Formats: sequence, C-alpha cells, structure tokens
Amino acid sequence: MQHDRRAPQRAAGLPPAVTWAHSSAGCKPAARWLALIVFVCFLAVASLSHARINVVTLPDRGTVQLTIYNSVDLTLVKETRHLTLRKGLNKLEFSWANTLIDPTSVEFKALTHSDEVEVLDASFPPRVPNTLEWRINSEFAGDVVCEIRYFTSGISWSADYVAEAAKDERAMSLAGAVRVKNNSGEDYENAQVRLVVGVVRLVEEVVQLARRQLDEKSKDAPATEALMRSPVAQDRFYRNRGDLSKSAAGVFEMESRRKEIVKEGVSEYFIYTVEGRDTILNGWAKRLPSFNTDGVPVTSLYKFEKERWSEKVMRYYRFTNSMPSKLGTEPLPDGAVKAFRFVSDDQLYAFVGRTSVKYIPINEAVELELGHDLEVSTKPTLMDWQKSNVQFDNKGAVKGWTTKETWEFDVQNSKEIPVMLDIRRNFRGDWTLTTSMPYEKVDATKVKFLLSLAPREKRRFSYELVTRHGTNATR
Amino acid sequence: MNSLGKLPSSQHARKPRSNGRGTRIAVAVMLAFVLAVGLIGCKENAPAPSGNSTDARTLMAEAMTHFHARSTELLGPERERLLNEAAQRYNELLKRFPLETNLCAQALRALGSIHATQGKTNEAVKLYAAVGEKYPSQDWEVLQAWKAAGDLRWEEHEREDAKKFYSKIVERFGKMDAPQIIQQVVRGSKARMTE
Repeated sequence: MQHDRRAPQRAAGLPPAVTWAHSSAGCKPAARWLALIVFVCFLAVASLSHARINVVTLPDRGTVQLTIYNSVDLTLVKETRHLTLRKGLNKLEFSWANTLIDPTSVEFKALTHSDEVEVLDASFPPRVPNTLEWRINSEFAGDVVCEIRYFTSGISWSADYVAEAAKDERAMSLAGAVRVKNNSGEDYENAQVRLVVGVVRLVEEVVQLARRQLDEKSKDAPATEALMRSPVAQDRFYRNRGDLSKSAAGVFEMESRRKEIVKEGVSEYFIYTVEGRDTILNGWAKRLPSFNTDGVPVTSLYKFEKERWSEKVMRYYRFTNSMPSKLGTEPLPDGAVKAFRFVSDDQLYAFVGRTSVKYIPINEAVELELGHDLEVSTKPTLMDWQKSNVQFDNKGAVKGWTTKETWEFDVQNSKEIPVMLDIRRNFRGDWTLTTSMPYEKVDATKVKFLLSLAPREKRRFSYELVTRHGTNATR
Repeated sequence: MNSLGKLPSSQHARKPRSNGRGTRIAVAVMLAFVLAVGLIGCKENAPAPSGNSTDARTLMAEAMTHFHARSTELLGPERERLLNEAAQRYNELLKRFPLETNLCAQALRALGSIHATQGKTNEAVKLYAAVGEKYPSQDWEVLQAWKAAGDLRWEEHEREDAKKFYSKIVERFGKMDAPQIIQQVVRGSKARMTE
C-alpha cells in the first residue's frame, strides 16, 4: 500500500518532501497516525496562512510508560519526545485517528526549558481528521524534552501463574507472568509497562465520574471531561496521573531504578512495574514474566465434603503469600494457575490441574483447587440408625424425637507421599457428636476431621451422631 | 415515540362513551399531542434502540478508517473518491442513526472536514456551525467544530466572522477547571479575538 503521506501537509502548505522524510520510515500503520510533527514557523506568520515551512524534526518517542488498570478499560500513556524547537513559533501535531485515545485527556508539558516554552493555542486542523495542533512559542532554540500524556482504552492485562511442586509436594516454585493485550489502535514500542493491581477504588471513582452525566451538556462527553468538573476527583486524578504540578504525591513520577519488577504499594492499590521495556504492538498480546520464586512451602491438602463435591475428594495446594514463604513482597493479582508436579527423581513432570485465584493480599493463605484426585478416597457409610424418646402432644401427634446415627469412614491414601485429608460433615439441629477421632467444630452446623495419612495408608474411623428434634431439642 | 410507546393499550382500544364530535376531536387532539411529545422526545438525548449503537459505530469506523483517514495519504482522483465514499457513509449515518448523537456530531464535523479539504470553505463552515446547533450537548465535537470553523474563516481573512466562533468558544468553554487541551483552545481563541 503505497500512499502518499505528504498529502495532508501539501494541503496545509507544507513542503511535503521534507515533512514526511522522517515519518515514513519505519512507521507502523497505527503509529503513523500518532506521529508528532514539529513545524517551525517564523513569528512573521501572524495568521494561519499556508506558511508552514522548514520542518526541523519528527521526534520519535523517547520513552513511553503505560499504566494499565485491570479493573477498568483504562490506560494512562505517558511519553516523552525530544523536540528541536526554534526560537519563536513552533507547531506540533498530534493525531488520534483510528485509535481509542481520549483526545480530551491529552496534555502537553515541556520538561526542560519549561519556563521558556509556552503553548499559545491548540486547534484542530480543518482538513485533517481527528488531529490537534499545538502552537508553541519558544524563547529557546534547541532540544527540548516534552511530555505528552493521555488516556486510552483498549489495553488490558491479566496475570497467570505456574506452580511446580516437588515430588514430595512440600515445596514448590511459583512463577507469575502478566499478559498484556493491546487493541488500542496504536503501537507502543519500548514501553515501560506498569500494572495496577487490585480493585482500585480510585479507578472505580474515575470511571463512575466519567460515566456520570453531571448535566445535560456533559452527556456523551469523553470521560476525562466529566472528571475534570469535580475538584476532589481532579486532585485524586492528578495524583494518580503523577501530575506533580498539581499533586506532590504523584505516583507515576516514581521511576523504576532496578532491573526487575518493582512493586509499589500506593494507598488502596498496588503497582507493578515490569522489568525493562517491551514493545506492545496493536492487535497483539504479549506475555511478560513477573516473578519466579523457588522453595515456597506448600501443603498438599485433600478435602471431602459431600454437600459440595458429592463423593469426590478434591486436591488443593495451600501456601501463604508471606515472607517466611519466600513471597509476601506484594499482593498477587487475580489470575489463572496451572499446577505441575515432579513425579520422579529424573524430573518427570506431570500436570496436576488448573484453577484460578482471586486477589491474594500479603500474608494471606491461599488454597489452589486442583480438581478431583482418585488416589485419595473417602467412603462414608451409615451403619446404624435409631429413633428414640418419641414425644406426643394431646392430639397424639409426634412433637419430639431423637435420632442416633452411626457412621463409618474408610479413608485411603494410595499415594507414595503423606497427605492431609480434611473431611467436613454438616449437621443440622440440636446434635451431639461422639467419636474417638479428634475433630474441630467449624461452626454450629459443621465439623472438620483432619487426618494425616501416611503413604499407602488405609484407615477407618467412626462417629455417633445424636440429634434431638422437635420438643426434644434443647437449643 | 417513547411517550406513545408507554401508553397502555387500553387507552387505544377504549371507546369513548359519547360518540359526539367534540369527544372525537378531543381524542384526536390528545393523540396529536402525544405524538408531538413523542417526536420531541426523539431529539438529541432520547435513548437509541438497542443494536443500533453497534451498527452506527461500525459505520462510523468504516467511514473513518477505510476512507476518510486513508484519503489524507493520497492525492488526486483517488483521494476524491475516498473522500466521497467517506462522505456517503457519514451522510448515511446521519440519516439512519439520528439518535446516536455523539456519532452524528462526529459525522457532521467530519463532513465539514471533507468539504474543507475539497476547498468548499463556505459549506464546511456551515456544517461546522451545524454541529453546535444540532448537537449542543456534544461538548468536545462542538469545540472542535467551532475552532475549525473559526480557523477556516481566519485563513480567509474573514476575521469578524472568525471571531464569532472564537467568541462562542470562550463563552462556553472558558472555565478554569476545564481539561488542559480545552484551556489551550480557549487561550488561542481569546488571543485571536484581540488581534
């Protein structure tokens, strides 16, 4: 597709051969619409005549930082460009055509020589779709670093984990990764990616404000426009956006110094900064490694609860997101988990199961449900049932009675490793449990038997349940 | 339409007790009133029927991506063809989806841009002005349209005409708490008004 990209500049009176000399090279289809073009004009150009001349440079992005929220479709883009300005009037174009950029959120700021660079005007060139043009007056001739910020939608991220348990299932390695998807219409090359973890009240507020129809005039207005009408929200918004001129507590100004994923706890939420820089092309998804921790203590736990899983025994890996567990430096975001286990000394690898986890705060224990495991079984059998102490009212109707059930449990661990088996039983009414097996009362209607089973062990235990019904009930 | 839609069916079916001419006239007047209210309700902020929004967005994206944006990369007859194709779709959107006010405002402004590109400045300015008249709630589109209209007039040295647009921008958007980009547009408009 060989189009002449000089056309719009010709229409605007630009010397086309010069204008696109930089922009054509290496421009991706989406990126060409986001090209920033600096035009230097002379002060004598008092009107917007067709006297744009002497294109100085087409600045590539110096740095790009993407801060992606996972609870809403919102990404803050912060990019720096190195402009070569002439003393006097300069023009800078920014196009959002074919992208999901919110143009009302676009901001320009000179980072160097800021006291000598002033934006005089922003306009929308009538002959070019979805483009804005800044007229910038500079008292300085030379390189100026500027920052351009805006919000876009269409970029999302999700976390996933791989757990690899040792053969004895007492420790595991846990690796986390994030997958970033870009459908924003724009390529972001060599971008620093920051991910906001958790259900962020701040962002929810941003979205709520954005959607609120404050008055009839703001109906269907872009998100940030509505946002800007609230001073409180503005303060939080700017704080969130790292606008230090408006809030000294800006978090987005904090740059990553270490070549690793830096995690920052910021009030209600958490920010991951992915190590290094990555190119996130439009239409692509990219998986970025987040962390990999070996030797995380894990408990292989099996659960039986008839009301939840019928006769099946479910397998769990339990671990704690804490420092003693070699984790605990940051909360772990929601994500999918695949679990594997080394089943032999020669590192033969077996898939154990997959599940998903919710947000795991620091110091919280988590249990990964990995599905039904046939190698651990539990079989409850009702051995006896008796009704006694039947009470009648004046009309001869039964008003109270007592039942006694005798249950036997056969449990079996067919594995070559010891396991913990958690058996839950649910009882209703006024009940009394009698057994030689230790148990823990979970609540008024549930008890838990926790058995530690040796490799290949079979065991049988029993209990007697007395339940008082009707007027026999004492509680 | 909405008002009509909410009328209980019994009101349509109910026979007037009197067959007198006056009652029939009253019913007719009432129906006419309800119809009028319904039509007024169809104006800018009435909700769009479900499903239309997606179709309208698809049409808008097609016009913008495949034709209008691509036309800026070309010259000569091919560019004209793409501009006409884009204009055709923008017009179709305006006709088929009048309730999609945000997209309609965008389409109308885009039509203005096409006319400006084709050198039909007067038509372009009329279309830009129409954005503010037909879709006054679409702040961002109105701002862009008025600024583009003012700048077109300014280019043509029709400064008094241009200042009318700049003045409207300052009056409506000149707020301290506006986003930076809007404040910059207002600043530029103010400067032009004093030139």
